[in-house]
Order: sequence, then C-alpha cells, then structure tokens
Amino acid sequence: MVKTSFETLPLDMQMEILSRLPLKSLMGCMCVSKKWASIIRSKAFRDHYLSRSMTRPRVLFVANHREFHKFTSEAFFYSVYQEEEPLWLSGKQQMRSEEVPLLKVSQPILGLICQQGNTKIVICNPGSKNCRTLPQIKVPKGASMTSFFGYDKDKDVFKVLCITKATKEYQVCTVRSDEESSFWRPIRYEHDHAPVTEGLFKGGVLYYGALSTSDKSVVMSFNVSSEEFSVIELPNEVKIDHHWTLVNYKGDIEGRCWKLGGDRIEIPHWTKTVDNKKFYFKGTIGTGELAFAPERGTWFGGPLFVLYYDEASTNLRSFEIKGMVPQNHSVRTFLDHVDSTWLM
Amino acid sequence: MSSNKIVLTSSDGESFEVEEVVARKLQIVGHMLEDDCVINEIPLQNVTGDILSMVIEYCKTHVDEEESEEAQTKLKTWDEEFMKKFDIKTLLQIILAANYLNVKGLLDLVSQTIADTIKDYTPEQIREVFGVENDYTEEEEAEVRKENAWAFDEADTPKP
Repeated sequence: MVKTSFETLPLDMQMEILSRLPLKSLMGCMCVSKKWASIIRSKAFRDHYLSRSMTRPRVLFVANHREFHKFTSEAFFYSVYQEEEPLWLSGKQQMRSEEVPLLKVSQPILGLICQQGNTKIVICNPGSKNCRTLPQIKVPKGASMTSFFGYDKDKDVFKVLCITKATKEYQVCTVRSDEESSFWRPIRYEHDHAPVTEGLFKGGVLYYGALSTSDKSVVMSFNVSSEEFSVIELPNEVKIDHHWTLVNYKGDIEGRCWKLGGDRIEIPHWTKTVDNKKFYFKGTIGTGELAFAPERGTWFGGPLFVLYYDEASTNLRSFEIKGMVPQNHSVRTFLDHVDSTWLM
Repeated sequence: MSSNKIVLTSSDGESFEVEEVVARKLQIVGHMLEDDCVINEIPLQNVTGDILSMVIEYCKTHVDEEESEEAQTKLKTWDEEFMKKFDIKTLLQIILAANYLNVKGLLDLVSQTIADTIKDYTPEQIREVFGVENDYTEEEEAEVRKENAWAFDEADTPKP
C-alpha cells in the first residue's frame, strides 16, 4: 500500500487544510519545512486565505497611551469577529507592539494597516505581527504631510499616497518586499487641495475630504491603479473639517457625505445608552446595521463599547469589549479588518 | 426517489450495495448516472474497500440533509463522533477518497478536522505525525523560528 502523508495530497487540498488555521498557527507552520513556508507565502494561498477570512470580518481596536507629544509609542492591537457574539470573545486576537508610529493609523485594507509618525511610515499586519518600514520620504524640514493607504488590484500591490500640505507635493510609494524597488516617486496633479479628513479606501479608489484653493469643501478621489485624482463637488452648505470621517454606508461613499451634511437619524434610547460618551459613526456592517464606536481621544478607560443600530427595527444593541486596555489609553476603532497572510 | 440499488466496487474488489440516493452523494457516481442511467454497478478504481465503507457510512447519514436546527445539531454531533474514530493516516486517505469521489461535505469535514489537529501541534509534532520532511538547515530553522517566535508564546496580554 502507498504511504499516505500530508505531502501526498494534491497542492489545492494542502492549501484548503492550511487555510483553516488561525494566523498564529500558520506562523508555527512556517517552521515545519521550507515547502510549507513557500505554500503559506504563495499568492494562491494568500488569495484563498483572504477569501475565507473575508466571510468573518473583524472589528479592530488600536490603543495607545496618551502621549500626544510623541510620534511613536507603544500600541496595543485587539480584534474580535464583528458579527459573532459574544463580541468581546469571538475570535479574539491581541498584539502589543513597541515604538510604532501612531500619529495616523489608516483603515485596515486586506488585513494591513498603514501607520504614520512624523515622516516615518510603517505597513503592518496586526494579525501576524509582520511590519515593513517604507523608505524615508523627502519633505521640507518641518513640513507636515498626510498619508493615505490603498491597494492596486491590477498589480496586486499596496500603495501609499503622501501629500505635503505646504509645498503641495504628491508622492506615491509602492510597497514591495525588496528595498531597491520601494521608493517614493512624485506624481503630478494640477488642482491643489489640502486634505482634511482621513482616507477611505473602497473599490480600488481612495477618498478623502479636502479643501480646494478657494476653501471650498470637496471629496477627492484617487484611483490607486491609474494614480489619477478627481474631484467630487459637494453642495455649498457642506463644510468639511477634521472632525469629519468618510464611511462606507451600505456600499455608498458619497451618499454618506450628503447624509452627514443633511439628514439626521433619530436613534431611540441613544442618550441613555451612550451615557455622555462620544460615539462616532463607523459605517455599516454585514447585517446592514450602523456601527458606532468611540474615536481616538474620546475614550480614556472604563468599559469600552461598540453600538449596532438597525434602522428598520430601530433596535440599538450595545456590546462591551472586555479585557481590552488599561486606563489612559486612547482607542481607534476600525471595521472590516480581516486576517491575511500579507507580509508573512 | 426510487429505491434503485447500485453496486459500488472498490479497487481491491470489495462490493457495496447502496441505494441510489446514497450513491448520488458521491458526485462522481452522480455524473456517471446522468450520462447513462442503466448502470447498476460502478467500479471505483482509486479507493480501497475499507475507506469506501467509511465514505458510504458518511453519505448514508447525510442522505437527507434537513434544514431544521435540531437535525443540523444532531448531524454535527454525529460528524464529530465519526471523525474521532480515525487516526491521521486514515483521515488523509479519507480526504483523498472524498476528493476523488467528490463528496463536498466530507471534504470540508475532514479538512477542518486535520486543521484542528495541526493547530495544537508543535512543528516537530506536525513533521512526525504528517510525515513532513524538514528541509531546513539548522541555521535556517533557527532563523525562521526567530522570525515567528511569537507563535510559540502564550497570548500577548497588555501590561497591567
């Protein structure tokens, strides 16, 4: 009889089995053999693993100690499955990371986040703890810059767009594994604008709220593949400032902007539930519910909650996230984080 | 559905008479029956009798998959007990058979069972139990272990 071992299985079956492992176990599997490590690092496996984990999106919390004067600090990453109860325990993952840039933290895209310090930019996979520091960007001394993170589906690469406000410079860096082909290159855009909000990446396009040279509020869109900008005009009465967040509202981005500027939604029992804490609308989840969470700088200890509101049934659900972080930490909350093998 | 009987014959010549509805759970058989409906004996060359009997046992239990929660829970419990009967070598043979015979449910079940086993094992245990050759040099292994060191730690917890 033929000896049966794992390696006698066809490759697609080996991948099918390994794709069911949590990231932490996969890291252990990388040590089994070179062959296993190369399967886990392959693009085919990455795609397979992502398609499975995208059916179970996570809420990601990034907490750091309140040290506003520092661009880097110790950060704590915590995630749970977004749509499985009990929320605080389902698929719990946590990771601590020392001295990471935390001035800006991007929304997670395919399991990766982009963290910016003053001029230092690090791409990080909080599930596998793999990080990659981008080359130092050249900006005038003391100039403030804003970074946006996106994914180019055509080339299967991540890109970071950086805008230096004072000099109106636009630069793009493609995230690559070898340092030589990873560099900042300037791109041209004639219509100057100053970014105001965080970025929102969706369907191959980055969106962010900005002010045009005539101080008019606009939403900028940047196609991550073609690297072309375009402007989405807003009604005159809409004035965007840095308190604004663009969110994914049932698959519609611009729609949410109008909604923020226009319609109000009355949520019953809101005041009683939130108890004087500030909650921000984070977008819709798979069930169609609207998700709310505290935003950076508004939560410094005490129980941490996320809220899900169903517009049709007017049902407001509140979930406590237990076992998170100690006092005096500021928390950022993101929806739709997934486990992925990028950067492994 | 008619209670037509079909005879399935394994590579080592063992024959199993099963109802057509059960045989159709093996999609490979289902396709043969669609091509020519008068077949009543099917030779299955890539699977031995002992493994085939287990695949048939699974198909018999899953022959009518009811939607009700109660029925689903009962099936799930049965699946768990069924999987406990086998060692890894047998599981690997069953998964190969499930792939050849194209039984999706069993393929999923065995994949998950094997994954759950791998999850709790150290790299050394995985190599031994699954017959995986370690092709790392000593230095390379030390390096890759260092890179992935946290996988072997207890869960990270925040500092108090």
